[in-house]
Amino acid sequence: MSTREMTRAADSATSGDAERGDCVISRGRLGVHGDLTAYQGLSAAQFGTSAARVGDMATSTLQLAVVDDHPAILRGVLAGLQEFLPQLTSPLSAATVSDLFAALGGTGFLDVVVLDVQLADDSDPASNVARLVDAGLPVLLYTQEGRRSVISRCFKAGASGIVSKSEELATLAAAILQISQGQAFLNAEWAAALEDAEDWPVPDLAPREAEALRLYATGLPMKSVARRMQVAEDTAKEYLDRARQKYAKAGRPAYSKVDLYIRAVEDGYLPAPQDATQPPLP
Amino acid sequence: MILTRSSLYRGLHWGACAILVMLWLGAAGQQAFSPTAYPGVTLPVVMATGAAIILWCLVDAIRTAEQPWALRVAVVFTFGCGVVQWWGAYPPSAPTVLPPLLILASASYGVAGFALGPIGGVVVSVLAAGTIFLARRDLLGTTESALTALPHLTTGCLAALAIAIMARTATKVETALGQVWEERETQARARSLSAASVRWDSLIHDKVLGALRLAARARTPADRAGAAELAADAISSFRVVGSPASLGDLSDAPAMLALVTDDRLAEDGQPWGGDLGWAAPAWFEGQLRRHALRLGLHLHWEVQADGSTAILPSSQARAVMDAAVEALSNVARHSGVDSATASGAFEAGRITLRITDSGRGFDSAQVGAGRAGVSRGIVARVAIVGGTASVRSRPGHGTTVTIDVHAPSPRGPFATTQTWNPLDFVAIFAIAAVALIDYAALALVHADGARSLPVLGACLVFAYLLGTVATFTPRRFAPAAYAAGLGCGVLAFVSTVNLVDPGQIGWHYWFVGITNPTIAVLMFRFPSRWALATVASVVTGIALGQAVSGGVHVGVLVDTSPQLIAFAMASWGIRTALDGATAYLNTAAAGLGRLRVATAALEEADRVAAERTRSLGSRVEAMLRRIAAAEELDASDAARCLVLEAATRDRLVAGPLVSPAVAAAVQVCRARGTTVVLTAESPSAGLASEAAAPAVGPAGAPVVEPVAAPAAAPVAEPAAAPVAEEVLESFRRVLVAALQVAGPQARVLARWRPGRDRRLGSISIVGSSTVDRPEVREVLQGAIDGHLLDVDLSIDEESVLVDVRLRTGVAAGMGARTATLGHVAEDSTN
Repeated sequence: MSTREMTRAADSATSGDAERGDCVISRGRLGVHGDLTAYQGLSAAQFGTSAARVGDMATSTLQLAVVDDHPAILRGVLAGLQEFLPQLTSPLSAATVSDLFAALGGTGFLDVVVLDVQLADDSDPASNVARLVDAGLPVLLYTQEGRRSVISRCFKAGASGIVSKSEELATLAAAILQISQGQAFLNAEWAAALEDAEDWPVPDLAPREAEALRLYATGLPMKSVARRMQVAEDTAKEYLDRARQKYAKAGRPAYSKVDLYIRAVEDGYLPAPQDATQPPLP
Repeated sequence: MILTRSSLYRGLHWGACAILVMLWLGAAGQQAFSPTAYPGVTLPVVMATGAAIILWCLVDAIRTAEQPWALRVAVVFTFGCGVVQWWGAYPPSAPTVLPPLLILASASYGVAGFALGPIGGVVVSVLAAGTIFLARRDLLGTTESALTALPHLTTGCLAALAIAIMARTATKVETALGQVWEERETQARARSLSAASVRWDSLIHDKVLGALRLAARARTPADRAGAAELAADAISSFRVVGSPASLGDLSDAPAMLALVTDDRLAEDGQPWGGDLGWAAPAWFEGQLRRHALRLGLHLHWEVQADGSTAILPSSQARAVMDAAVEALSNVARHSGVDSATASGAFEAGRITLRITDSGRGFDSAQVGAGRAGVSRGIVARVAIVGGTASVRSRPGHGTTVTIDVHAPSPRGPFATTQTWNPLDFVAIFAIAAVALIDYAALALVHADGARSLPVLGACLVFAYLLGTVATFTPRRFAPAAYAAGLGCGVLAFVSTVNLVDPGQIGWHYWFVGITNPTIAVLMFRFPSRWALATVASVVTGIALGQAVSGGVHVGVLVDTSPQLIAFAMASWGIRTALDGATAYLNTAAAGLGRLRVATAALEEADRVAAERTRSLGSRVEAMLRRIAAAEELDASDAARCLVLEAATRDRLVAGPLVSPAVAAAVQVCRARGTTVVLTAESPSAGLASEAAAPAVGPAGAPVVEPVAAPAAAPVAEPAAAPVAEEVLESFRRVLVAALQVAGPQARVLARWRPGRDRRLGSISIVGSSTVDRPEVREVLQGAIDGHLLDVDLSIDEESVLVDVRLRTGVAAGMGARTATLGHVAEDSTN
């Protein structure tokens, strides 16, 4: 078994969170969520100390890939990131998800894939996310994309977080760090994408959970959300995380009929398509 | 529209010319074998004139003249011949011989239906038949003359009727096709608009904003070079207003198609025609080559296309495409070689595609449940659309992926089944029945010319039987055609033998006329060779009959054959016109429609590009040009870049929200050091870009300082109620107030997002510097318009939250928009 699978198995034992295709590994307790105020305006040096707050760093090197269709942007991002994350070693960059898979080879492993939502090959963003997630690679969306439906579909497909391109690189670094540790990066954009997502109905979302989501989506920090809900900060985080889990359960990362079919075949609900009988090649 | 008419009329025009030629030859032949006594040079002059007119008709046909003047003149001329014959009463060699002038006269009604229209055709038929009747009355007696004139009348009416039906059908098809293509065009426009908007917006996001950001933060020449690259890229995508080369008049489809290359059409990866089901081999080839190139493969294309375009539903075409691409990816990934061959065939309604490589292969018999990419992906994708796919490989022997998809039976305007309906021809069959009765009557009138009455009766019955067989046996049952053809020959033989005097020309040869309807039906319902074979068999039958009775009389053959041939050719002409028109219609209209759709899509895309370019503004463009020139920017320039970037981003992401007042307030606020993030969406924005409804892009905002630009014409929002704009304006006022009170180092996040429960949006200010100010609550409260808005203002030690809702009771304008959120967004990948 690969490291990844073992980690996943261990986690599912503790938190009961084994979703097929859902690479967001929840560790049974909430990690630090994307609290933007903590990272705003931090310089790289300061960031280093803050990073220690994030919890024990499971990996001493960070394997990162960035998928973005413009090399210049990639270069800029990667150069900037290395200042914040010294443990970042030779990040991969690719213009499309297919290129990434080609560069990665069959058994490559990455801690995080930073994925631009709109790519030059006009691929469907949710499909891109799904492909990566299915391959066991956590996905961080990096985009200026405003359309709620697109973002929510990406989350439904299993993305672990979203960072706006206009944010400071410190924020991106923080998100990468969190996701590389198997947590989801929850911020206002994430909450906004889930809130009222029409094609992602969660029937049993508790009112408190929905309210937490709504308040968080307005951009308030966790403390303020908790205060307005008159609960402790940890409780508010709990609400958010529960909401996240419910959404994850309700959203199978299958996004096209073919994939549903393939999924169904894999799950054994449908018989595998018979290979036509033909004489073997000479 | 023009295409339909011209293709149909072209066929008819040629048919008419053929009839003229046949009858001219018939007249000449008739005169050669059974001369009528014409004075002096009358007949040669007439024939010469006729020949000249026919030549003119042929020229007209070649020129595809719009108005068939030559044919009209021919009608008048040939009718005149009939009148001349009547007037002159020139005696034929035998009473029953049809004088050449009358043969020519029959051309008039044959051609009038086309030359003068259906009603003209009927009128001319009546007149011509009348003239023929009158011309022969003295020789044959009233009854017989009438009976012999009647077939001319019925034939003429049949021809006119047939033409009327064809024209009507053509119009029907045209209209239907036209409508279909209108709809497709609208859809294509909408799709293209939304796709182009998305593409353009992401272009701006990535390249314009990226370039500005990179330039502002550039510290090394490498950074500057990167920014320059981005900026240059962005600039090259800008479109000048009034852009694409005008595509002019769309009547010359092939030339137009050449202008708009397949490469550009195939950019969005859609099979041409989108939902329409084109699967042009060229499209497949283009797409596969692109993918092969990207994968670093060399692709040999050996697919046979038989000229017709395989018409598949787009889901099938896409499935084949996806499976083929996956096969190519596997070649790239697993085979160890860098070339692949695509072979197979594209036929109407069926695609067989084989991707072969000569790489290291694998044991395909072993692989079953494991390798998702190889077996599952390809086979599953194709199986889902009802096709079959197989992957065959042996270690060391390469791999072959075979994809085989049949189209379901075609429907709609792409059906290559005939557009004319046999039911349309009920009228024709009815008239044919009348003609049959007429011939029967003639036969009985001339019963004395027959040796044996019972044989005559049997032949009559047999003739009816043949006609019935030809009309009613199912088309697939080809032996029916053989039987009918053979039967006609037998009928001809027997009837000829039955004649007392086979050498005598006249209505004893009633059975020639009676086979005409059979021939016509055979021509329509079976491949044309059967009708022509029937003609041959009748002529053979007559000849054999004559031979058996005592000697072949060529004159008789010459007298009777042209009629048969002319009838067969006329039917053939009509049928070819119909069939040809249908097929040509489909192809041409589809080609034209494809062009229309492509043009529409490109127009929309270019329009969006032009609008967005304009709305970007000259200052952004100027700055981009400086960046593209890799100019070194000083600190103030860098700051300008960031300001421009932020302002552009605001307009793109929060278009509806950003008014000049808002933009100014944002700028001031940012100058203070506050972070301001704005987002806005119109309620339909999320839905429309997926659904096939006319999309609403993020509306281009009006002029915004400091990035001044001429006001961009915004993409109109569907039925924006006036109330909605007021509400938005009141939200803006609150926002401006919030921006005014936000302290330095604070973070303002304003969202305009109409949603459930009358929610409109929120404004949050996070940062203690704001909260510490006492006047915050006052200022914010003051900005709220209590009539329209219901605002929840909450302030705690770290943050201010303004939660904005629509006041209950405010007009349904907003409510309707809010209600659209109740729709479940359509899954665009379905």
